[in-house]
Amino acid sequence: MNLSSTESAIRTFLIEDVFYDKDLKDLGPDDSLLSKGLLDSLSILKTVTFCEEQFGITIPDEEVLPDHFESVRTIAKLVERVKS
Amino acid sequence: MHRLLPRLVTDSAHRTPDAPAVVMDGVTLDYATLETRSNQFARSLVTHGVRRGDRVALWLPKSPDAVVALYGIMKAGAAYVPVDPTAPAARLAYIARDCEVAGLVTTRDRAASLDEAFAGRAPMRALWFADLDDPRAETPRVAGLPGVPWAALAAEKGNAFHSPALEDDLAYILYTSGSTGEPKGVMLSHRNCRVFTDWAAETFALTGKDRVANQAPFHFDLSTFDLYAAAYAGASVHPVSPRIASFPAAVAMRWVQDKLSVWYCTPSSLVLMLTRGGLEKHDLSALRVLLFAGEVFPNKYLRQLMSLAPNARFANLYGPTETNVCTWLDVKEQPEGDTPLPIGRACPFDEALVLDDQLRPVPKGGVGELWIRGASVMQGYWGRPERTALALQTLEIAPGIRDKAYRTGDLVRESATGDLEFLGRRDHQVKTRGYRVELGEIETRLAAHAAIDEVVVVAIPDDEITNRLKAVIVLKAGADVSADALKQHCAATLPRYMVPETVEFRAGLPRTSSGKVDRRALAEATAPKES
Repeated sequence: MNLSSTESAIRTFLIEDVFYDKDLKDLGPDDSLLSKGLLDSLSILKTVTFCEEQFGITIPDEEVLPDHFESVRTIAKLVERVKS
Repeated sequence: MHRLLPRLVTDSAHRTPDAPAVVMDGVTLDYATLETRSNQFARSLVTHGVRRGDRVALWLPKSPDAVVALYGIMKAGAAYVPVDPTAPAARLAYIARDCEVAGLVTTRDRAASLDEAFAGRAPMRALWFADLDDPRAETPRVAGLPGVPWAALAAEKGNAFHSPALEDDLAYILYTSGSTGEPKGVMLSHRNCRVFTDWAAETFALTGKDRVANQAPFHFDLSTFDLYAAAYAGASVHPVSPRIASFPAAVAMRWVQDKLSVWYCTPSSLVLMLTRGGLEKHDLSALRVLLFAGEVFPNKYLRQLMSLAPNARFANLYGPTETNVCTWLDVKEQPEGDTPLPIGRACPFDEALVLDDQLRPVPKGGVGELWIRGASVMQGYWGRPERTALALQTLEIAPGIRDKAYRTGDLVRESATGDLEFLGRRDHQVKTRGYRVELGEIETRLAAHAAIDEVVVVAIPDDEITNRLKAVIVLKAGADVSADALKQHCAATLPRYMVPETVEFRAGLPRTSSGKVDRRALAEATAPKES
C-alpha cells in the first residue's frame, strides 16, 4: 500500500481507535467508509478531533461533510487543504 | 378499518394521488405509488405465509422502499419490528427470535452476517431483499431460506388491499434497552399510535403543503410522528439519507435547501446542528414547526435556535416509548436562566398522575412519580408478563374507578401553573443522543466477560449529547484485558450508542456508607482517560 504520511496516520487512527470492533486490517486508502455505514456521528467527531490535534489545524464545521469523509484518501486531502 | 395506520396513506392517495409522499435521495414516491407498492408488498407477505397478528422485522438502512415495507407489513395485518440497521446481526437475531418474526426485510449485503447469527435456525418463514431490483438475480440464503427479491413485488396486484387488522392489533414493536441485560419489546397498537399522530397533525396544523423532516431512525418512536402525522395531512416525509445522517452540517444544508417546514428531533441532534453544523448561517424561514423530545434541551441552545427561527412554533414533547408522547408544552417564549423547560401537561388522549410510593396522589407542588393512563399507553412488553405487570398496574384513579396506568420511573412535580417539571429518574436509566439506555444492560454484558470482577457503567453529563458513557472496571486477580477488547466485547451484541466511550480500570470501586457502589463519585471523578 502506497500511503502518504498523512494518509497513514489517519488510517492507523481509524483502525485502532474507531473501528476497534471490526477487523479492518486491510483497510485500503480508497475503501468507502460511508457506504458500509462504518462512521457514526461520534466516530466522525473523534476523527475530526484527532486530525486537528495530530496536524495542528482547525477543520471548519462546514467542511465536515460526507464527500470529505468518504475514505482515508479524502480525509487526508481535506487535512492537506486546510493545512495550506 | 378506518383508523389503522396504513389507512392514512390510502386516504391521502384518494385525495391527492400525485402529491409527494416520500422524498429521499432524489427519489419521490407520490401517494398513489406508495399505496400501490405497499399493497403489492402486503400481498407478497400473505403469499409467503404472513398472517394477521404476525411480526415482521425490518433490518435495513432507510430508503423509500423501507417506508413501503412498513406500510405493507401493517396492511397485511402484521406488526413491524424495526431493528437498528447499525446494530450487530446478533442483536437482530436475538430480537427476531424473541418475538418470533414470521418475516424479515433486509438487504443483500447483510445476508452473510445474518446467516452466521442465525446459525442455521431462523424463526421466519420468508425474507425479502429490498435492494434486489432484478427478478432473476440469484438471492443469497439465510438459514436455508431463499430471499424474495424486491422485484418480485411487481408480480403482485397493486389495487386496494383490505387489511384484516383491527385498531387494537399491534402496529409495531420497538425494542428498548432492558435493565436486566436484554432488550424488551414495547408493543404498540394502531390506536396507541394514531391518538398521538392524529392529534399532533391537527394541533400543529399540518397540511399537504408541509414538508416533514425525518431524522429519527424507524426503531425510534420519534419517527412515528414524521411518517404518520405527515400521511394524515397528505404532506411529504423526507427521511435523512444514511450517507449524510452523521454529518450535522450536511443535514442542516439539506433541510434548508429542501425547505423542510416541520422538524421533530432530539435536542442532541439539534444542538449538534447548532454547534457543529453551521445552522446559524442558514435561512430558516421555511421552518414552521419545531418539535423536540427525548431529553432535556439546554436552555442556552434553545434560545439560540428560537432566535434563528423567530416565526416557527416550538413545542417540547415528552413520553417514554411505552406511551409515545403523553405530555407537551407549547414553548411561546425563550426560556430564561438554566432551569429546564417543564414537560407541560397531558395530551388530551392521556392523563398524568403524580403518585407517592403508596400510589396516593401527591398534592400539587410535591415530588412524586409520574404515571400515565390513557389511549397511547402500550399493550405491554412482548413475551414478558412479569415485566408488563410491574410497568402497567391497575390503579384507583378516582373513588371506585380503576384503570391501567404506566409507571414511567420519572420523578416530577406539578408547578403552580399546572405544568409538570421533570426532576430526574428513580433508576439507572439515562439518555445519550436521545436514546434511552439502561446502564444495567451494559453492565450485564461487561460482567459476562471472563476477566471482569466488578463493573459499573456511569453517565457523564454532557452539553451536546446529554450523557457520555464510562465503564469503570475492576479486573479479576491476574486477569488482563485492554479497554479496546472490552469495547469490542460490548459492540458484538449492543448497538454502537451503548458501547462506553471510555473504560477506566480501578483496583476497587468507591462505596457509600451503606456499602453500595458510589455511582455519583464515579460519575464526577475525572480520572485519566483510557480509551
